[in-house]
Amino acid sequence: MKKRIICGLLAAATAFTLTSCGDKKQAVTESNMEKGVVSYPIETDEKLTVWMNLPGQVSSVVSNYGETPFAKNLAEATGIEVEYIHPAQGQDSALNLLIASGDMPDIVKAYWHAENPNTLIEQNVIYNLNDFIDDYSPNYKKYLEENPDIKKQVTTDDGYNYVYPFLRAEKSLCATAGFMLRSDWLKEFGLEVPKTIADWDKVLEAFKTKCEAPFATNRYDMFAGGFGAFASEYVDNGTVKYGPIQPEYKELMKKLNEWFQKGYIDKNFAISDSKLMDSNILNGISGVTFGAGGGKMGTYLSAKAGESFDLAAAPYPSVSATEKGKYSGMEWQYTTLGCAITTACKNPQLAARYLDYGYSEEGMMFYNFGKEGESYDMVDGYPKYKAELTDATDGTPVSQKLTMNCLGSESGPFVQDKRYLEQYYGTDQQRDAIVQWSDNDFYDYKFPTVMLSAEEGSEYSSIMAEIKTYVDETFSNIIIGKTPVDEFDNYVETVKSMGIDQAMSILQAAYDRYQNK
Amino acid sequence: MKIKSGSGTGEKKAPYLKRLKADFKQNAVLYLIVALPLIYYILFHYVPMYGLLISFKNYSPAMGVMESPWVGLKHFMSFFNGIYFERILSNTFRISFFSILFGFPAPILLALLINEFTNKKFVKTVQTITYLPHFISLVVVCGIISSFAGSNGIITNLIEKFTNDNTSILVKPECFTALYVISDIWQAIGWDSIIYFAALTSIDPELYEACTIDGGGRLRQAWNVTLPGIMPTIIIMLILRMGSILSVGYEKIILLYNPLTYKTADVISTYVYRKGLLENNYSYATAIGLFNSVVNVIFLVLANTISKKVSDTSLW
Repeated sequence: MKKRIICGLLAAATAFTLTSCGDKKQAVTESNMEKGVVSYPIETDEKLTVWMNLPGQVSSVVSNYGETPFAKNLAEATGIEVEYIHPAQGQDSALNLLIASGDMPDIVKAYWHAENPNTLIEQNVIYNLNDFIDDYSPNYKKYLEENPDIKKQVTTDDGYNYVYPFLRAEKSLCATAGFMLRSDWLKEFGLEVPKTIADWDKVLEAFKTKCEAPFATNRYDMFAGGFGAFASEYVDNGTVKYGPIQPEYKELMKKLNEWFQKGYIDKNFAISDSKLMDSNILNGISGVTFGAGGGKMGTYLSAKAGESFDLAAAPYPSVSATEKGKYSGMEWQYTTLGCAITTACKNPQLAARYLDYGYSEEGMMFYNFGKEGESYDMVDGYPKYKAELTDATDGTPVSQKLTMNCLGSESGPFVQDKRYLEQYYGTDQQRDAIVQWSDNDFYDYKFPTVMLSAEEGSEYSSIMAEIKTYVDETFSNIIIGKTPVDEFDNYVETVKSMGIDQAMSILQAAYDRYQNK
Repeated sequence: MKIKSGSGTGEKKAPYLKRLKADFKQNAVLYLIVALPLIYYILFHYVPMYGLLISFKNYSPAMGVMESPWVGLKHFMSFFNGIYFERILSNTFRISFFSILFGFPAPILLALLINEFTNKKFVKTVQTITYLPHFISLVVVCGIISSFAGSNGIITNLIEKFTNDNTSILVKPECFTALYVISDIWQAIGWDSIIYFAALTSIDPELYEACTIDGGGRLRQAWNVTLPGIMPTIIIMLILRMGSILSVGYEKIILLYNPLTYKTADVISTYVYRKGLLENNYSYATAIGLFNSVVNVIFLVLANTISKKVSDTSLW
């Protein structure tokens, strides 16, 4: 009998290891939902499951996004109950693990750049949304028709729609970080906010008399625009090129090395972390930094409120004062963050309806600002957040309060409204910053978000991982003068021998496919 | 009980099985108890090994381990032919070598030193103080190192006093190995010495007496009695340590390195982290992991064989 127990145990163990995959293929059930435009809330008893990261701003208050007032109001407004599923915090590969597990929710909200949605559709993991959008998402369909350039960004090479994307309505919303410097010092020296490298030379020279090392940043690659250079891949007249090996990049390195020798750059810049940079700028040890308008600039200004300390944003440098910069840290309006419907969803039509809400006029207001009367009021046609939401004096951060009540400062299946940022940014300096940081022509050169096939993707990333390490290393070593600038030609040769041409031809092919969509 | 000579394997096996059966009947409960850990090992240590397959495949999460296409030795070749192969391999060996050279004898020395003290209270205090750092999380340790050796850290300020140069040692590639090894010793010395203390207590006190009678002083006692007494432990520990020669802890390096120190700090595991995990290149990462394990096993076996020949102490 005891033998039988052991046999049983072993059998159970074997069965346990052989997890059956099952047949993933599922016929789309004919839905009894009506097509075309409908009004919300929708009457249904069905529930949907949404897989997404728990926004960091609220993770200290709730353990599930469904507990927030916004989620409750959203369920009420759309008529659809939603169960939120969150992956463990800080897991970079969460989406990958989810796909590998095969245990899919109805809707997945994630960044899709690391996956190839075209393949996922072919492998029957997520739905091709084209038909659902035509029939059940009239608002989103209308939005795509009105914005053909967005449509190009959100579809795969084969023209499939795979997500309901998170979009930013305007260019200025895509410029969330940039250079900022002490404007009170500028005034003292009678200097203007610098635009070209010559301007920066003057400013840094003046600042050096004031402080130890003028820079509290390690994003020196962001000066590339001042030399007509690019610190990433870019498109020049239809040709994809790698910025750090172009001759202009040598000029950038040369200048940075000069700045290092003159003491403008901290000797230990390679290890300066965000906290150190904060303390340097706040204590007047430095006068220039690079950072986000909300997290950095806003924090500095409020920490030093009432003192002579003042900051101004500088635009991304350009070659001459009359030209606009060609390089910047701006992101695309679509960052591949969006909600896909998986083939595990039993009622994709309902999911399509649910996700379409954020692109309707009513839904856009709702996602950006929350429920009228509860989190915002209409004042002369302007949606104004309730005062208690934008006031941080009680110690609760504004970002947390907003994310509890709306997704304007977060993300989701909707179009982000500029008016959220105007209120989220508490000061004029910050509001000016997004104007300065978006005042450049980077979109004419920026490499678009393309889709790589699995083979292309792994080849590209395997080449670039090594090249990036080498480029970073050489860049830092040239700045501190350990590697002379004259080594630039050798450096270019090495990068070429590491396969940069092959990597760029992969991108070129993807770019051509993208253009021919 | 003699087995008939010249008999076939079938006949040879039968008595063994018979014995097994008899033994099983007698000790069924013991077998059952052993079965549980056995199942555990099979389930969680051997079954997952089938995942090694992906190092010979182009793994895609959506397709799963079995469905992904075979690529042969492609990932191994691209690792061996990679431009950084020599650098990361030599860095790994260098850091590992110095860790063993200085980090391995340190706890033995500590154990021998403390052994010389007779004040129990003092010994306990020293032991506690030295093994406490073991419980500090590595992230915190690296935070401590960063703030001590960073721009405004006390170590940087001290160096500035003497050399008039406030460059942090964290950006100097030539200092990285020392930084790694010294901080490792600081953190592990007390904890690692515990096993040697245990070995020390098993030495027969009469041997010391005999040594004293023969006119041996304290140093002579340590050299001729204590050290030989704990030698088997030392050798076993060394063999085990050799089995992880390529497994230099990546967490510490990732937290401490920067582009300026890649030259001496980039090791196999950090490279795997950057190239395999950050770029979702699971097959590649697995291939390097497999290579790592194979090299480790070779060193383990080598160390074991040598020690067997030289000192008769061995793991198996």
